Amino acid sequence: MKSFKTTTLTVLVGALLLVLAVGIYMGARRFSAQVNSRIWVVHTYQVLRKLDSLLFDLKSVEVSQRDFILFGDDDSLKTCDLFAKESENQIKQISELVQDDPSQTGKLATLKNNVSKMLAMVRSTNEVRRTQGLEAAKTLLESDTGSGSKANSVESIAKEMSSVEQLLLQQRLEQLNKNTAKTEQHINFVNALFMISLVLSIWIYSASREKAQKSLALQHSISRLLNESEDLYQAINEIEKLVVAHGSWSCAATWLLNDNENALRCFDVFNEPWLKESAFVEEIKSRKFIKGEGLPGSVWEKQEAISIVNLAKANNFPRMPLAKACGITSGFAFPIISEKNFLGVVELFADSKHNLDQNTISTFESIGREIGRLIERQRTQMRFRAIFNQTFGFIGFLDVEGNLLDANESALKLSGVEFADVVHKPFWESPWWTHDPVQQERLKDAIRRAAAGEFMRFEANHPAPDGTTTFVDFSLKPVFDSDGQVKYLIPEGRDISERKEAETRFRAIFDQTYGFIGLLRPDGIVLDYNQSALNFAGAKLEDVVFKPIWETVWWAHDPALQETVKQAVEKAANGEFVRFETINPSASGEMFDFDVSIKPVKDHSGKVILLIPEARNITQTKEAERRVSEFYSTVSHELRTPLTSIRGSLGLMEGGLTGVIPEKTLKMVKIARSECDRLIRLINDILDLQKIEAGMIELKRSDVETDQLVERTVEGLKGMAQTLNINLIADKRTSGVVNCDQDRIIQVLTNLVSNAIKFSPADADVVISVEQGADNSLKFCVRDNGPGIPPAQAHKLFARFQQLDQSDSRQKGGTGLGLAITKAIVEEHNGQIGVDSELGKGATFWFSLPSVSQLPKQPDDQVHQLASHIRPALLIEDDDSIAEVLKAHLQHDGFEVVRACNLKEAESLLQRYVPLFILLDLTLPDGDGLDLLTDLSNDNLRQHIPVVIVTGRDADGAVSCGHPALIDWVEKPFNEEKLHDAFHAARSKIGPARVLIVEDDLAAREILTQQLNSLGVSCLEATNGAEAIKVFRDSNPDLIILDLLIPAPDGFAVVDILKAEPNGHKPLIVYSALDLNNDQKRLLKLGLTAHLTKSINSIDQVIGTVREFLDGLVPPSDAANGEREEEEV
Amino acid sequence: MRKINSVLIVDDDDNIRLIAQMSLEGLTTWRIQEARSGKEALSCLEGELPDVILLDVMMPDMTGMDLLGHARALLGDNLPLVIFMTAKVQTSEIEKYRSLGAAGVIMKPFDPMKLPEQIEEAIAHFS
Repeated sequence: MKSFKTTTLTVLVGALLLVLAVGIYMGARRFSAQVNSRIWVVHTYQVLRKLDSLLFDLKSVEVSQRDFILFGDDDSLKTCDLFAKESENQIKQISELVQDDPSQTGKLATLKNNVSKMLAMVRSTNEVRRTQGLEAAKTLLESDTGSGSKANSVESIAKEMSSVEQLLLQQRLEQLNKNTAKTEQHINFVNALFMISLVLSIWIYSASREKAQKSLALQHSISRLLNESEDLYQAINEIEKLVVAHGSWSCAATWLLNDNENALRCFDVFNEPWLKESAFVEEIKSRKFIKGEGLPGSVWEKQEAISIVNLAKANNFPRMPLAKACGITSGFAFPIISEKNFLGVVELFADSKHNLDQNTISTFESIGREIGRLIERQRTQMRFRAIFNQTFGFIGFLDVEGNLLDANESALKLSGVEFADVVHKPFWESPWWTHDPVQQERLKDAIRRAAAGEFMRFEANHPAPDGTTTFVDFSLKPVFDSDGQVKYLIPEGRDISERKEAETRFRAIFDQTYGFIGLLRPDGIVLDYNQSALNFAGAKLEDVVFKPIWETVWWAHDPALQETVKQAVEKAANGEFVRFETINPSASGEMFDFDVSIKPVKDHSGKVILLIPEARNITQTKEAERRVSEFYSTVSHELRTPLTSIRGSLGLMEGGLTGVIPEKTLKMVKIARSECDRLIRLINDILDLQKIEAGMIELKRSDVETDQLVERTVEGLKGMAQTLNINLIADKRTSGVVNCDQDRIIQVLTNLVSNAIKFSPADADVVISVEQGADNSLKFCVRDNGPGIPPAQAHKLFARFQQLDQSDSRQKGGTGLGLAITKAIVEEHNGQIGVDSELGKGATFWFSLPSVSQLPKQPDDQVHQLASHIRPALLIEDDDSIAEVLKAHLQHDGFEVVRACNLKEAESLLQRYVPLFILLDLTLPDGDGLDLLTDLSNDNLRQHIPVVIVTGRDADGAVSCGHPALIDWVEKPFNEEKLHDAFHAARSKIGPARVLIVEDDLAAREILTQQLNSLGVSCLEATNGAEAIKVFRDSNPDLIILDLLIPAPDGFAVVDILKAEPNGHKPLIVYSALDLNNDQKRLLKLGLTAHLTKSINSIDQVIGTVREFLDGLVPPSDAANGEREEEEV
Repeated sequence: MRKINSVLIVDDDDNIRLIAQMSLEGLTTWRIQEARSGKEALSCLEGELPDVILLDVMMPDMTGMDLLGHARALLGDNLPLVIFMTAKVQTSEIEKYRSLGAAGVIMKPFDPMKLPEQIEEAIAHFS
């Protein structure tokens, strides 16, 4: 309605404005006509004034001419000329002014003509007067009678013209007055029109303003409603009411998209009272619309508002009959959209025609978008609220004072709290906290600190309605506004009761477990220790925590133990598992045995992050071990004591110390003695096996070469094999190193080999070999050619008292425990044992041990530690302590010492080294020292090495060995004096150092020889390369002086050859005329080498270098002399 | 090598003492002294010192090890070489004897025909 009126008004105002515009246009025209009239009046006045001026000028010409003629003065003449010119000027102007007026043109032409004639006459008369004088001028003047008439005609013509102009002026003034009156009328009319338009415009403007304001107000109130509304249904209902009231609609319906049905369902209808219970409204409430169906469906499809002014004419409006029935005639619908998502439709219906302008439609569309946003917001809020309420954690909301603003359902349920009872009240006074004043205080403090911006976290417990207690990991988090001020606090709690319980349980296990357990940082600082450990020392956790473990009460009693623990921690921090046994005092001072271990705990990258120290009280085990050990000791003692007497008596009788006994008796005594021995072995074996199986033997492990194990076994059984005519063969093709208890493995090998020997027929071979086994192990095999073992019985072999044929045991003299012990020992070494056999084809007993990498070549190291020119004494002695003593003696006498523990090592050392002399023990683990002497005697290079034998054997053997350089035979225990004497003798036997001089020039050779001899050094000479090499090989000199330019092979070649010699690493002085470059010097090198040039370096320098190189071999001259004297003596 | 001229046998078992004595007297020229207890042995040591003491471990009143201690206290550097002759020969026991300064250990039952040899060897190794 209003909009309709507005349009009419607008048209009216438009028409008025048109009239006003025409009026103004016409007024303007009228005004322009009036101005025109006024111009013509002014024009006429101008013509009249010019005519008057002309007449005046002409008069002036006449007067001034008369004066000139009369008086002949120049002034009058000038004046006359001036006015004449002025007159001509006036004529010209008048002609311009009246040229468009035909009525005046004729008169003007006559006027012009007369005036010019008149002026011409005046000028000619004036000329006569000036040239001919007054009389002539008078004459002329009097002769010209026509002039006066002419002046008169001019005047009359001018007056005629004036009268014409006067008439014109009269007409024009009348016209002007008429125009002025008309213009005034016009102006009045236009003014009136303008006023009307103005009033109308203001009215229309304010009307439209009011309308816009109303539309804005609607939108605003809807926005406010949407913003403030918590409840969607209520909000939509209010919106419907507002829209209906605002737009005089009769009914508003909101349809929302039901995702499940993919159809629109009525969410709410608002209708005016008269539509209540109408079929139309009921239909709206009950039906659904799919996309494209009816008005809502069409809006959905197009996603824009649709207005139907006349529903009766709409072709897609199925509800028409119902609408018609209740008088609904027009409809409008707009979509509810959020971020391009279609959510629903709002329909409006009216009983009158509603023709909506675009503005209104846009307004409704924007309302639709706002509703859309509300729905979206409501849904999001619902989701958040659900999360907030239903989340497992306890969450709330506090103001900075600590008053509760909100709490989620989980939290309320936790302690059975009603929200209304606690909201807007201090949090600490709520039932979550009131049960415990201490916690209340802590909370208050936390709230104060959180309000200051701190994040607070602590463990709390809250009472549950069922009387139990819930343990909560509680935190208080400040929420800051954009200025950085704390606005709210978020209290949050997580139920950790289960974890707490598990923790308590684990703590109980940790604390109450019998063992002592702790937790250390990798640097050994104690983080935790269990109650058992603390109780043991009568300590409290705070006494030990944050201290280095070795400074804690458990270790304080023993500084050495503290050091052990410290080192163990360092090892563990490097990732090693450390284990050791200790004795620690309890709180009462009683001492206990402990099995202590420190285990590193690593993170995924392998870095050690924690250490777990553990100690097990093994006092009882230790005690039990001691008792068992004691028992075995006692048993063996008690059994052996009587056996000792029996065995002893029998032995004495058998040995003939009790006098001669009859042969039959002797035979019986022998049987008794032999069985007695068997009984003793049996007892020993039983005890041994028992101990091994009880894990009571301690393996003394070391890295041992397999060759050594085999050799020692063979050595031990050589006699037995010989007695039984068996070839005992050690196959040493494969060898390696195993980590084992040497004696125990030899015991095993001995057992297997002696079995093999026992069960082999005479003249058979028994072969011991080592093979590469699986998994980097070494397999020891003992092969015999005995009767073999049926495979079915093989497994029985290693059981106790098992011999395949009981009769064998008597025959072969075994105890039946050997293989059982063997098996136990091998297994104790983490090895495996077995037998491969076929009946009648012999048997191979084998066992395997883990292999370790090769032993470092100790002898090499020893040699390399020495300077190349120093020759040490070689000490061959297997017993460590004796070796130490001998070494000390040797060093005391100024010898460098290299030691070999056995023949093999000694041989290897002698391969690479020629020692000053050899100190030799005869009883060596791998053979007889005398064998080494025999070998040396047959070696050209080494036969002259002085040898001193130090042994427990008596000196009888000395004669038989026949070594050329055997100095002395010192019996053990040795007498120190005798030992030093022997050393002295060995040293003198070494004799002077020998220098090989390779020089083809006789003179040079002689000088060198002479000089060196005076130094106490003996000289060997060679004149060419071949000779040099021969002498070198034969006599093993201590130093070589080498000329390079010698007959073939030359010095370079000699050096090359000597380099390849086993003892080629000798001090060398190259003394030649050649100037050597660095490359050559590098090639010419053996041991310690000097390069001297004949032209530059003197003989003295050569001798000096010899002395320097042979330091220790060249005695000071006094000592050298003394020794020589002694030799002579 | 230190020459052996005299040996003191200390053992509470008369039989064993007798066998040892017979063995040594039969096979060597050594002078043999006997003591049946630690106490007796100590009084023997107050007189002329033997070169070697052959010492049993398990004896009533005073063990062989105790005796060794007393003898050392009594004689200091003049203490003769001591060889334990005992049936208590577990590894740990032998180590203990050695640590006390024993020159050697001979296991019981012993072979009387080899006893002098064993004594000599033990002493040779000890040096």
